[in-house]
Amino acid sequence: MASPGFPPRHLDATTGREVVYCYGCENEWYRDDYPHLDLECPRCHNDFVQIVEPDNDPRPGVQQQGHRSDSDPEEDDIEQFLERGPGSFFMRRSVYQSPDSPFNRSSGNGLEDLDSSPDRPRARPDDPGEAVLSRFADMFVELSGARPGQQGENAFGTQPRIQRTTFTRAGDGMASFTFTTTTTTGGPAGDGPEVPAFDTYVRSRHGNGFPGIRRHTIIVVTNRRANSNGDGSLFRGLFGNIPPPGAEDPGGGQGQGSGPRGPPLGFATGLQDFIATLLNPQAAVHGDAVYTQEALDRIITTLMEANPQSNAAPPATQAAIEKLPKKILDEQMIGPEGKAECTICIDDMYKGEEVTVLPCKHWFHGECVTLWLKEHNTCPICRMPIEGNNPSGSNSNNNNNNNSQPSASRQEASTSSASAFASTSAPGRNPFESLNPFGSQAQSARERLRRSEQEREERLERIRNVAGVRRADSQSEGISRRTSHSPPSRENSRFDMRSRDRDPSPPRDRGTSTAWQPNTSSNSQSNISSRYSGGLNNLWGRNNSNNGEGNSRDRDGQQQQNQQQQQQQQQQSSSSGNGALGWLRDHFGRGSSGSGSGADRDRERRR
Amino acid sequence: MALPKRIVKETERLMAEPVPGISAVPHEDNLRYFDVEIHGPSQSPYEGGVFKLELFLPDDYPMTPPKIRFLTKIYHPNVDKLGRICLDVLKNNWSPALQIRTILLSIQALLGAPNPDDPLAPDVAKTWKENPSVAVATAREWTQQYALPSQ
Repeated sequence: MASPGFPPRHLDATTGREVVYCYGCENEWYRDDYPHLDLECPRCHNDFVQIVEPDNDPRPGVQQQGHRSDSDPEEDDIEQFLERGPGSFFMRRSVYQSPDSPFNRSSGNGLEDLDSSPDRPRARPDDPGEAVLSRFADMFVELSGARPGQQGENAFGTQPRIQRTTFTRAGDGMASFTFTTTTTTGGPAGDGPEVPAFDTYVRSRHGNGFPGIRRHTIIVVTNRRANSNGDGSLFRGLFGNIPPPGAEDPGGGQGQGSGPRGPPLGFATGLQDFIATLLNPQAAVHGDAVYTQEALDRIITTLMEANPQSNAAPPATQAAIEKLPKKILDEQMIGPEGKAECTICIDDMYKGEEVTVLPCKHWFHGECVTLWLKEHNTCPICRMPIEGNNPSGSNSNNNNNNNSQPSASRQEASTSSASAFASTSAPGRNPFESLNPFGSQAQSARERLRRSEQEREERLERIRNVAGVRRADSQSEGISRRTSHSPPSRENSRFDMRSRDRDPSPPRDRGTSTAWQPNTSSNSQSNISSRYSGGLNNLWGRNNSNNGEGNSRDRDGQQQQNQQQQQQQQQQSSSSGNGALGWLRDHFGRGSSGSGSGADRDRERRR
Repeated sequence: MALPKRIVKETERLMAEPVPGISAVPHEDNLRYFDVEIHGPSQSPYEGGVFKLELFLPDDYPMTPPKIRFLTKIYHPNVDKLGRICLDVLKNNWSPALQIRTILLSIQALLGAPNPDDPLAPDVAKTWKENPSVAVATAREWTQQYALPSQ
């Protein structure tokens, strides 16, 4: 980017005379005009100056001349966004080394390349942002073990020297500051608090680790929005704004003359490098922040080991495990060899041993597979889930498991209970329905609650029907008779009527019935339930005192309740997990829903 | 704690019927800790290399997978530079039906078929995808450099 596009106020650096630019006051001059000054600004006497080169021109308005003169007004916006990030911070880091003077090839171009105002104020030590920057720099200085202001010959040797130059600019919502790190190396070895990554970088890139090298890191940060007293916001932006990957500092594409130059770095990378350079990388963990790959690896390892199977299948429920069918190994299962192996414990198994069979027909030692299923609910061999996708199948499994009642008798039980149900409830069939044009949708809240209570009871009863098949055959004669004898209270009969009213209800009820899951309205339910149970308990108490059969019935009930409760849990878990199947159960399981309502419900409450 | 029968049986079988190209020898003082060697599969960049691994059977093995790590440096997208292996059956897809033998075979297969789409070493995976020939050459170079049989 040579002279043609330069604004006239800039000195032409291509004529052979060396042009020097001052970062402090943006002054520029021909070097040979001030031979006595040797790279010090004749105006502000700052030594943070740079010789301008055609391909490395730090002066505002010069560097991006090519872009600037482009007439597309959009481009500036895009570039500004890309290169400066959404927080309008940009940063560049330059590394260079020189065998002689640290600053005769100052590299910090791009400090301020957009503001073309010629009367830029100088650094303002009294600026509020200055204090923050000062502390920030001091922090690094202390971390590195160097002393601020330690310069000159005594800096050669074992300690890095850190210089800081800061510019802040207020008034027009713009601030910029610069950190300059000078690491002075007396020789290739034994350099005190060295900075390995940095060192490696310089040597590997330039292949000349000769003694007497000085390396300089210059970080330039510019914030276009910071205001004069907003040092807090300045720093929030500094740490909070991490540019997108690939966003580079604006000077990244610029050459640096013969001086080596760091790769273009995003702000976060640059800052991280800067910090890692100063800290000891081996111990570079500070709170939640890490600065080295090693430290990150340690954390990742810890996380991985802490939870190595986080995405694995969830544990199976106790109920699902318990209802898995057990079988005695026969020839067919074992195969022609007469011996097989439990895949989990790899122990031999022989004909006649009992195994647990999963729905996928794979079988294992009961203990072995239980241990596994408590961790993950899939088959160890084929990974098929043991529950959740086939409730009817699991019901039949369950039936087989109980193995005392063929399905025909269950059918019989449910029909008989249904008929008993019909007979008790027939008288009150329709008195409210005729008054209620909206049907179930227009129920009062009270009725709704009652219905939810009733819904729960129905669920329980259905479960009991499934679980209590045996009872229906052997002893349930008595129980179901008792059912029909159950307290003929008014409440109860209304109850029954309602349940019957809802039986033929269309699927639109589905929404409400899912919302009636006991856990969603448990409070109101428990209110109602306790109210009812009070009355029923009284009734039962009377019954018991009148009726000697009560005790034996209670004993029967105890056993069954245990079983029923398990069934209930299982039913709830599966129905909540599977809406469509739950609906099917609700509607097709209806036939058996009315059985034994009074007695079972009462027993449940007495418990 | 007594060693579960399964571990004893597995060890016996590994000794009795070793898998070609794979060896796993338990430490004498800790029968849950195995020194493993896997030969690089033929026609892979790891061919000719013998890779050492360490394998440890946790207390709840076989309900949890064995812990395995490469000790030999290897250039592979699914092995990071600490030797950790990204392999589903060692993590979420573990099953007690798997054994030391099958796991080691899986690792050997992983050497033969790197999966750069599920990387543990992103830089390696990137090279593997963008410049496979360079990646394979590097893997071969590392194999020569780090994995040559000691004898």
